[in-house]
Amino acid sequence: MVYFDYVRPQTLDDLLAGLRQADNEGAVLAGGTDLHVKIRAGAACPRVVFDISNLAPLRSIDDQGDQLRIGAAVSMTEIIASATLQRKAPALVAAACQMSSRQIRNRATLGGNIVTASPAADGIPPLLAADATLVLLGSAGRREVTLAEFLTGPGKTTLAQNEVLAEVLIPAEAPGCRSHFVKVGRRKAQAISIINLAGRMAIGQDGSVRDIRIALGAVAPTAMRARRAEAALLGNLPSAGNLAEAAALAAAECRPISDIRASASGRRLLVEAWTLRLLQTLCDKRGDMSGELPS
Amino acid sequence: MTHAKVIGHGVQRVDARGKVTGQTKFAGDMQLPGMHYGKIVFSPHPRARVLEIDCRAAAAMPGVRKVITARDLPGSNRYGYDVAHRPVLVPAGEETRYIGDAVAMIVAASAEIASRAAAAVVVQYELLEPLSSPRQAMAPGAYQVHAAAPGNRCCQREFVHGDVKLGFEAAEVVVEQTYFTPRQEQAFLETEAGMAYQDDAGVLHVISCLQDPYGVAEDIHIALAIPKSRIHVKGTPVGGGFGGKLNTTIQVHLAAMTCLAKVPVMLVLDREESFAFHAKRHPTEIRLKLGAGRDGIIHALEGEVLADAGPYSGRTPEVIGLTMSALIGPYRIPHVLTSSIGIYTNNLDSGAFRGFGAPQAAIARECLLDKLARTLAMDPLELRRKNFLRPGDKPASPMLGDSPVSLDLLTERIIEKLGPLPSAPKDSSKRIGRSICFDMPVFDVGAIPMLGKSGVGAAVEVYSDGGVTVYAGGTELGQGVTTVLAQMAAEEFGLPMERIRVEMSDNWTCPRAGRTSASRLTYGLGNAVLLATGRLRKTILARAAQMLEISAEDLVLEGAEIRPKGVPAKALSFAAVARTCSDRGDNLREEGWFRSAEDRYMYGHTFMAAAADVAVDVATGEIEILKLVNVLDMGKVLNPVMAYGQLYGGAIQALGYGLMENMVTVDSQAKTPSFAEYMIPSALDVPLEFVAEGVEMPYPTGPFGAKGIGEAALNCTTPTLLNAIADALGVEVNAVPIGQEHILAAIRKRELN
Amino acid sequence: MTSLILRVNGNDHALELEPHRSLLAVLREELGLTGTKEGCNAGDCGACTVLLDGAPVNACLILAVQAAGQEITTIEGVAEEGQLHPLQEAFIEYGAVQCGYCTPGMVLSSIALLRETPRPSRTEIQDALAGNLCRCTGYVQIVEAIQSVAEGRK
Repeated sequence: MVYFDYVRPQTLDDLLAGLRQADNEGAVLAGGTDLHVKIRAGAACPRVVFDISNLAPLRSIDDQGDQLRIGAAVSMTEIIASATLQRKAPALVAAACQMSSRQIRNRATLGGNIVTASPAADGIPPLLAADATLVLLGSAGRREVTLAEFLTGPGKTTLAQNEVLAEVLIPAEAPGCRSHFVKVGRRKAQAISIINLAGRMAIGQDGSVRDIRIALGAVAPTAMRARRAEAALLGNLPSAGNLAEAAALAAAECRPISDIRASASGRRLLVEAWTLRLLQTLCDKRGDMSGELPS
Repeated sequence: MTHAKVIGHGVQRVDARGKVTGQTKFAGDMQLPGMHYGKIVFSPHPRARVLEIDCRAAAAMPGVRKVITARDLPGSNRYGYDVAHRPVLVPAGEETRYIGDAVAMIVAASAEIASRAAAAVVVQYELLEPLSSPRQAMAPGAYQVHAAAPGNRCCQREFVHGDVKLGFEAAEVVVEQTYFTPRQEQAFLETEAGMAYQDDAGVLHVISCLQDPYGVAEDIHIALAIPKSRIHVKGTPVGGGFGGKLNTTIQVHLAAMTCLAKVPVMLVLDREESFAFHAKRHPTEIRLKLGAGRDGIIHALEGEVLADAGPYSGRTPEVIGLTMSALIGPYRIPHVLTSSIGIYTNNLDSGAFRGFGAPQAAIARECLLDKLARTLAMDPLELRRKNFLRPGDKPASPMLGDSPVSLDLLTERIIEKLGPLPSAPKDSSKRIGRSICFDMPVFDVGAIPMLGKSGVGAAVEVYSDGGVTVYAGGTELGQGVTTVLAQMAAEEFGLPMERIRVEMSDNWTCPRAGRTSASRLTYGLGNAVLLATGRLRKTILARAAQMLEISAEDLVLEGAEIRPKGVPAKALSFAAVARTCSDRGDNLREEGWFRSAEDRYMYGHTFMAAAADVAVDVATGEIEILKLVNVLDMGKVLNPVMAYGQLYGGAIQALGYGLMENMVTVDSQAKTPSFAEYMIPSALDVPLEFVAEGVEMPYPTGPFGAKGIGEAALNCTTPTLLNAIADALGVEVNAVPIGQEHILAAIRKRELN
Repeated sequence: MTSLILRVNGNDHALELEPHRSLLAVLREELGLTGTKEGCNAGDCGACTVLLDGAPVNACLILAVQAAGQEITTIEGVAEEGQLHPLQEAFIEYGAVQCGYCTPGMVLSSIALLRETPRPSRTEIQDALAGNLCRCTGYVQIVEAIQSVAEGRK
């Protein structure tokens, strides 16, 4: 149990000034679904808590044409309800739908999911597969980092002291791009993912893979791109054989650990099976694949 | 008897309105003037010697009323069912035995202050290596968890029937497998909680969620040397127990806090404390062997159960004794040799959990039967039918009473409810599997060997306004016993349900009724209530007969009236007769004491069938339960809505047991001490189609022919799911819980072979 | 200490609180509204579900100060003048209540669901309840109770 002051800043400037003043003893509260649990477990002991859940600039979802902009304090429920995101970031919406429970989704925010930096966070693989960039605000002003650079380990990020994650920027998908998200948990709701994965694929005029990104969660210290699997597909015609090969590569290049949720070898089996299913879904081919993809 | 008006109908629960409106007071919801809050300082180490406990900082904190260590305790500082060898607080100089052992206690003005003070207690430990598995604890030279238990043996039993050697010699086919079952957590939503105070006469009142007020009073008496006549234990509505609150939980600690701090105290465990503290379903390793002829007739069964007893005895001897005998199931097997061994470790404690050892046995038995069927290339249902107990057969392990063998009826009903096997979906990587399994659940029939065959008592009082109170010392855990007992009284008196009030779980107001476990209340307490109502009916009818000037035999109790058969016009209201009885000094409070006809039997038995259709995706390992059916011989269905609720609830706990639940320990530390890590089924995990049914083969000694049914559904639903998965894949399952990755691994292994 | 006004079940309560206290603790300890249960204090079980401006949330994961200015509904505010809500009636009739510890949260999640989706599918009901753990019922009769209200049978 920790005593703290509660501040509800009215502007981003107030927030940043407050954080500076709190001198590293401030914590940012958005949905609170992680922060309160951490505080109770003694894993966080802030002196001041800054509630950003009502800061308007952090609460909006904007389609800026060449990119989508999602405020860090946008809740999972708002992501699910957003027509823009349903159309333009369906994998992120799918991840939000499968995350935890309705009660949690009503509070939990995208920014919180990223900053908590759990290797199993469901919101991260879709963003990683979409090449998302983060906008951070701090004493030194505004900076942008890619999500991949931002995540450095379990619970670890490059967020500087007194810095706040403000926005998530997602480059617009090329036309014809498809994306998909898969979550494997021990139960069908409210499950910390054993693995999760997201993929994005575009097929060119000639039927070959023009663009492919595969992001894997809960199989490495941070969510990771399956680069070798991607390389095996890029430029090739998707066939049963090379989808299976890519899936095997993904299983080989991930770096899972054994924990209470699953063994490392079990996770590799799941990565292979679900990467294959993900790729099949992305190129609209399900079930037994024997021949070439119809163009 | 006239046609039942209340019994057999899905009448509303008497406690439902309070529960849907949030008005029901659970233990943690209560308040008393001057109430303080308790907090227990648990050992963070499974095995450590307590060197020194420094309470000075904690005691100095504002708002702290009292800091308590073992030194402060009166009495033996020991309690526990079976063997009273559990310390209330581990004293300096002694060793802790698991992470649920307590070393100090705080009483403070608020829960927050108590928590802060608990954190300020400084305990010096000498860390010692824990025994983290039964195998490790059995190894020669292993340290002894209890000085009185060489080899860390908590209990060892053997069951012999026929001559197993002869049986296996006659067998043409022998199958064998070792099964591993996990530590299942009861996961009740309400953690251990209670409030205690002492009144001006020095009587200690403990008001708490529990399953056995009499056992709690006994433990408080032993541990704290308080005279029994000064201990009042009152059970509150329990927010789920399932066996996890059967042992005394926090009540001794609570009693000590209030006696030493001399203020009313509220104590509520948080979730992590609760998961670490109470005894769970025993993890077991079961080696089982079956010998049969090529015709499928089973000649012999041999089984060994090795169970992790955890640090204290508690229910272990009873629970794994049942595992051992339940290995036989509802089958006629001429030659049986089974044994069970419980081993002390420093892991989390093991004890009672719905099914009481039988679910582990059912997994091993029913899975091995399917393996035998595959070996014989025989339909698994056909194999089971060939070996069913037949009408007139007695089970190998002695059971009270002639429970009619309903296996054929169950088979018929479950096949009907199951319908045609679904076809494989278009998605061709899915495979369909089906399984039908059987079990012979047991229920306590009143004799409790370990408590000296105490019998079951109940009292019933009729008031002069025609209202009735039933005093029944069992506990309402949500299973609906309050309602069932009210139904019985209403039926017997011909009164509407609203006239009956049931006072439960109180060692002062209710005659001794024992523990709420082993599906024993409907049968035992029901019979006791019927004995009491029978006496009162006699009194009331005699008085009414006098008032009406006719013979008592010609009267019926119906519709809140007493009237001559066939002459409604001459009816007297029940209330008017009760008033007259009262005015004339008739005794309107009677006790009923039910003792089983034959004390040597602990259990009666019944029969159950469970079936499942599953689809397993061989590409991903994903399991989808398409349909689940449970059919149980209930003797008599007293309240279908509640009875089916027991089947649904038990089956979903069984689903969790098979597919997701495991309270993992590493080095004797709990690794899944939250609902985020220890997963129980959510609403989304419930099968698409789920049918629960009761069949009725009246049990001769049961109230209205009823049997105990509360635990049954848990037993054979888990192996049914496992066998259906095995059927879909052609891959054997011998360890639970089973997840997608295990299925993928099994498929991969088969492909490699 | 912070001064605030909490609007609970239509009534305003002026309170002086330390800001770290959860809405759950304040409802139970300051306002005596013990129908909201604590099951885990970590957002995992849903026993403390209340409605915040109509949306179900875990009261254990919200600071009381955060809830100021919003309409809070607890189980005590569901029945109007002793008249049970149709969902409460259905829970009783269909056997959706056993131990009752999860029931207040279940009822509130169900109310929120039917407000948003008056005719939910079975899966939508299951999804809406997925944050409310129940260990007794196996959920079957809870789902049936909600279906009965949605279909106007209740």
